[in-house]
Amino acid sequence: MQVVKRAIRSGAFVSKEINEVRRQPRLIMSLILGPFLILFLFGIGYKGEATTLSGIFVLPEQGGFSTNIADYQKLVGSQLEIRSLTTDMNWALGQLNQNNVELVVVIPSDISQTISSGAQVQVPIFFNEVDPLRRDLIIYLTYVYTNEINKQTLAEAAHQSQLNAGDVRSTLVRVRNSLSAIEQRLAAGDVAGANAQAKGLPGSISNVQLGLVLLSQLMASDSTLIQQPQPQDPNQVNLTQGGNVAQKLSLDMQALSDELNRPTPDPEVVRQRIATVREDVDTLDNLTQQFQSINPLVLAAPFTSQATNTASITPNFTAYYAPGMLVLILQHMAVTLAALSLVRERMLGTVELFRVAPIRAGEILTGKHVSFMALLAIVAGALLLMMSNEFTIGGVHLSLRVPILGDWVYLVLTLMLVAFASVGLGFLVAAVSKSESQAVQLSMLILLASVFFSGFFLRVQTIWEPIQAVSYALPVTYGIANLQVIMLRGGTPQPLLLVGLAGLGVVFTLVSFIMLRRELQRD
Amino acid sequence: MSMIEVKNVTKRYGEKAVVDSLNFEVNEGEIFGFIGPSGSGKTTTIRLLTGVIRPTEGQVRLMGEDPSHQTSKMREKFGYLPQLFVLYPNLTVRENLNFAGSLYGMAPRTRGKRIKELLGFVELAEAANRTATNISGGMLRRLELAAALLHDPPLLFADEPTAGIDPVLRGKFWEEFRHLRSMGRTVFVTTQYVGETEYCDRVGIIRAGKLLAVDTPEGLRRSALGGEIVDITSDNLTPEGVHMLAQLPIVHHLQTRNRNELRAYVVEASQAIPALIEVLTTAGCNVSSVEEYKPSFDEIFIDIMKREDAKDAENAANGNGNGRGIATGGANAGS
Repeated sequence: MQVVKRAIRSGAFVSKEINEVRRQPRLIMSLILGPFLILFLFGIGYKGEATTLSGIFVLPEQGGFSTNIADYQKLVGSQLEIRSLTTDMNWALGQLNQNNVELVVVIPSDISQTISSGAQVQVPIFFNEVDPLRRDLIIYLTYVYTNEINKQTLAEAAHQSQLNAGDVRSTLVRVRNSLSAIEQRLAAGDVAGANAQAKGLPGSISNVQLGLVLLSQLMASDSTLIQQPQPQDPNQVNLTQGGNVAQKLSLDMQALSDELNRPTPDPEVVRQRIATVREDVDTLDNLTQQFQSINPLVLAAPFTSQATNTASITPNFTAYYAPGMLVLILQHMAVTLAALSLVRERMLGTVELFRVAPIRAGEILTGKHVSFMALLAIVAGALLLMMSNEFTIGGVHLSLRVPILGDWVYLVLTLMLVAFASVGLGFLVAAVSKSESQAVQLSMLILLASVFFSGFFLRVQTIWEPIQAVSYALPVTYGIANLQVIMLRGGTPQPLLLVGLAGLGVVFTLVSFIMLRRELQRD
Repeated sequence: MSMIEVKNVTKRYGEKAVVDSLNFEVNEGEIFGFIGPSGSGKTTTIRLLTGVIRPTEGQVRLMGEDPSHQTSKMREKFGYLPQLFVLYPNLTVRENLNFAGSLYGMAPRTRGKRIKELLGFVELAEAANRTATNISGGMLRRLELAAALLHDPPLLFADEPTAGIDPVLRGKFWEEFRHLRSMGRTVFVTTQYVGETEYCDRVGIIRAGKLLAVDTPEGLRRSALGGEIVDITSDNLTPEGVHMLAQLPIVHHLQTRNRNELRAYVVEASQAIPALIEVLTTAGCNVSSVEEYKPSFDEIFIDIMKREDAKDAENAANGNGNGRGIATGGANAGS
């Protein structure tokens, strides 16, 4: 019998709260349509963070730099829009300070001398930004631009080397001709002539040797990423072995020269040596040809990334923020409704009635919990339906196309737990508030903390660990993490996050229960 | 049977005693009026009786139990009509009553039946579906009365139910209280209106936290005036006749109002009047009228207050600031 009476007493608050909200159709409309319209406007209005910057290039007054913007635009790519070129540094900084451009890039006058002296060329870049996120983006983009310039410069150098490789091939042709001449002299019995011919060889290949050693070191750089392929044919060589082949050629030519320098060179040995040197020359010629055929950009930037997103879907900004927005609104509504409801009881004086009536603190909180959770369930259901479906209001077609890939059971469970914990938090706010304005202020502070600490905009992991306690004291943090997994990844929420959310609700409700009971018993 | 017993109850907030050494009892089936000016301790007394606050000293018993340790069952035995409207303005009259009934665990069917009865009793049936914001102040008070009576309690606490409402509605409220009494219910009602004393079976007069008197209205009148008053008119009132009257043991005091009118303070008017007529006739006076004069309770109240003020002044002059101020007989009487 007492159980039935307790249920009836708690039920008093269920019907009372629902009747009170029912009498305020504008409130219901704002609870449901408000969040949807905010999301909708965000969806159609948000263009994403601009990653293209505008800038001015300040050129040295002397040095014969191009005055054609297109030349520099080609160099930096499309991420930096060069608005103008100038030699007036003060004017450029003035434009920056008036926020007409975001960057001022100063091209130094002594680039060649600096590089020749073995130092890096520093390119001063000025920007005028107070937004820390935008500031980091600009710093990152300047790094990208510098890399791009370096790449272009390297590609240009590689291209020049390829042109120079033509000289190497000419040298190799001369080496071949010398070998044929040596053979002809030997065949004619002119050992001294052959010897004289051979003496010119080492000097001829020295530049080839130097170039190929550098090339092979570049290709065989000590990078953990580059695994040297083993040629299937042991006689085959690749560009990474160019230096070795050049060295071998040098040694083989030296051996040929040594043999010819002997008082009585062995014709058979000389022929073998010539054959060996000819093989080396063929190999080197082949390698040089390969080197010339490589795109200079590949030589300058051998690596390029190819990113593939393995997520089931790639949501747009609206869809990505929708779960967070839903949970944030749900928490804020729950906290505000619950806090104001209890504070109003105090303001109206109904607490006086509760003190003399047989109702207990637990029954009051149970009744209010049930009524607010029912109300929040309706709001959450309506919002989910509107977010995930297309419909037309007054001739206006509205569609957010927020995906719900995961299990509805987990979705409902998470939303219920968010509502439960948030209503508990609202009761706690009411317990420490002396007036409605205080309760509203505290609710707004919780909303503000939620925006910063919940992972709605900034990832929770980016917050210093001790401060993450604030994040995990907010129901919205658990709700956002769970809903993003359920709705956007089609996954299952971490059990710890569900348990944490329920635990938070229990703790909030328990503390507010103790405080309300004390208030009802207050002397 | 005593519904309420209050023994030496004092409630202090810090050093200040809001009510001081209260002693009284309220019997079953009576309307007990608790009368005093604003700030005299009436609401604090109700809060002590309903268990909302605990006495600093003394003992309160409500139907034999300590109200500050009430069980839910115990709380179902009394109703409380607060001084201000504390129900919900956005709910209809019926919804408010449903809420009030549910607070007491009343089942829906019983509640519905009872609401129907009470809506008729407080004449709010036609306003049942109007929200509380859309009914008059008088209707709000009646709605609160209905809410307090919904669970049919044997004891009703009404804290200044007639404050700020028009005389017609005040009359209606007292009619409803009398109706409750006729059904065997006990009503403990506080009021600032001294004139409402006459509607009560017994009254307690409280001033600055101290109970000055507890008695029936008539008993209060008698004790306040030191008896009853008889007004005598004679067209040939002689000094001898006045002297003879003053010698009568039943006459406490004589007051000459003018040449033809006398006011006699006697123990009991009905017994004194024949003797007064006889004495005056013997003295050769033509008695044209003799009638009992009943002063209004406002006069009695003012008289009691004046005497208390005088007593306080006397105590202060004697260096005794702790005068108990119980002026009339029966202040400690339970019946």
